[in-house]
Order: sequence, then C-alpha cells, then structure tokens
Amino acid sequence: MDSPHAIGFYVSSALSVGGGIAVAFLGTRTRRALALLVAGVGVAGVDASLSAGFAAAVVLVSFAACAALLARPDLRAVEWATASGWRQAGSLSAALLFIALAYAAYRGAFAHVTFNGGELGTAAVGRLLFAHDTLATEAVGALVLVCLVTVTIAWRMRERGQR
Amino acid sequence: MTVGLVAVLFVAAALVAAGAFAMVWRRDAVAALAGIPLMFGGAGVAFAGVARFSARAAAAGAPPTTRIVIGVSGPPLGQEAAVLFAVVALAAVAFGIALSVRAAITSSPDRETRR
Repeated sequence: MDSPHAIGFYVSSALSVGGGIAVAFLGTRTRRALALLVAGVGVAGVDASLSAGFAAAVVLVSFAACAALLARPDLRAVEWATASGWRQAGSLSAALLFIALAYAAYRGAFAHVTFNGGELGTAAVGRLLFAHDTLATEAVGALVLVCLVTVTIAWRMRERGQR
Repeated sequence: MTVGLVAVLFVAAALVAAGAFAMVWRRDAVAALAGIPLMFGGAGVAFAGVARFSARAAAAGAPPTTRIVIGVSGPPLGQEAAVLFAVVALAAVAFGIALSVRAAITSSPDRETRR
C-alpha cells in the first residue's frame, strides 16, 4: 500500500472510531445521527483504501440510511433496563472486548500476499454475489424486505393510533 | 508509511468495541440501535482487510511439494462479506426501530386511558 492510500486509511480510521465514540456520547438525536454518518464516511474510506470500492459504496449507503432512520424526530424514546452497575459492567466488557480482539490481531501470524484485485472489485464481488453465493444474497434481500415492511407496518399502526 | 493487516484488525476491533459500548451505554433503546451498524461495519472492515492482505493465506502454508503461485489473490470473499454485513446492519436497525415503535404504542399513555 502506497503512502496516499496509507494516509487515507489512517484518516478514515480516525473518522470512523471518533464518530463511533461520538455516537455513544452525544446528547441529541440529530447529533448522534450526524456522528453515525461521519463514522460511515470513515468506514467507507477504510474500505476504499483497502481496494474494496464497491463495499465502501454499500457501507456508505447503509450508514446514511441508518442515520436517516435514527434521526426521525417522531421516534419516542424507549427506556430499557438501566441499572447503573449493569451499564458500567457493559462498558467494561466493551473495553475488554477491544483488548481481546486487539491482542488476537497483534499475536496472529498472518501470511501476506500481493493483492491484484483492482481498486473497486465490482465485477468480482458481483460474480460472487449473483453467481457463487446467490442463495445468501437472496436471503439477505428477503431479510431487508421483511424488516422494511415491518417498520412500515409499525409506523402505520402508530399513525392510526394517533388519529 | 504503510498499512498492514494488524492495523486493519485494530481499527475493526475498535469499531466493534465502540459499537458495543454505544449499545450498552445509552439508556434509550432507539439510541442504542446506532451501535449496530458500527459493529457490523467493524466486522466488514476486518473481512475486507483479510481479503486485501491475506487472500490465499492457506496457499502460503501449503506443503512445499505443491507449486505455490505468489501474488495472485483469490476471489474477494471478504469484500462480499462486508457488503452483506452492511445490508444486514440496515435491516437490523429497521427491525429494531419497528420493535421500539411497537413498544412505544403499547406503552402509550393515550392507549392506557382508552383501556
């Protein structure tokens, strides 16, 4: 990987991790959605610097859609089990998860090869998605359809209940 | 300045941990849903990194009798996984919002008074 790609990778990494932490700490819904969008730009940049341009485009669209869904002002807050001790234990577990994953990455013995798949890799990924792993692609498409239909029905029910 | 697989996996681990942290830290379930795309995005970055740096890693460990072609990467299965993860993250967020909207309906004060 040459220097411009490496600089792009590190800048995108900082954006994605910073945006992810901001998602946890920012107060208002709009700011959190904006932070999620920034994190999405960062993740897409990381993917693009890893020669996965098509994945980067899909990630960007996915994060933007998630941010748009989560930024809706008419969503009502739903409190869940919020004992302070459990939240702190969960945060500690997230830190331990990071340490464990980082340790596994540091200690792993990986074989390195030269990548020559191109910058975008659209054709190869398309062949995989629509020829090699068609069933998985169909399953994910059906999953998205079911989830979007469910959220539409839920919204309709709420609008009907408000009238 | 260069980037290796370890750096990519560090970033992926940080994203997964940040997503998990966002999910457990927020009291509001809708706000906690924002951690899902972060976690899936981190997993996708790890897969894309493996596809970029360690494709055909198994070939490098093959017995010396077989001829190993160095410099030829295999099909980008990691990129495919990253694409599928991104789509599944969107579906999970949509489903979570549907559940939270339903929970808000059932716990609505108007509904309680109507009952």
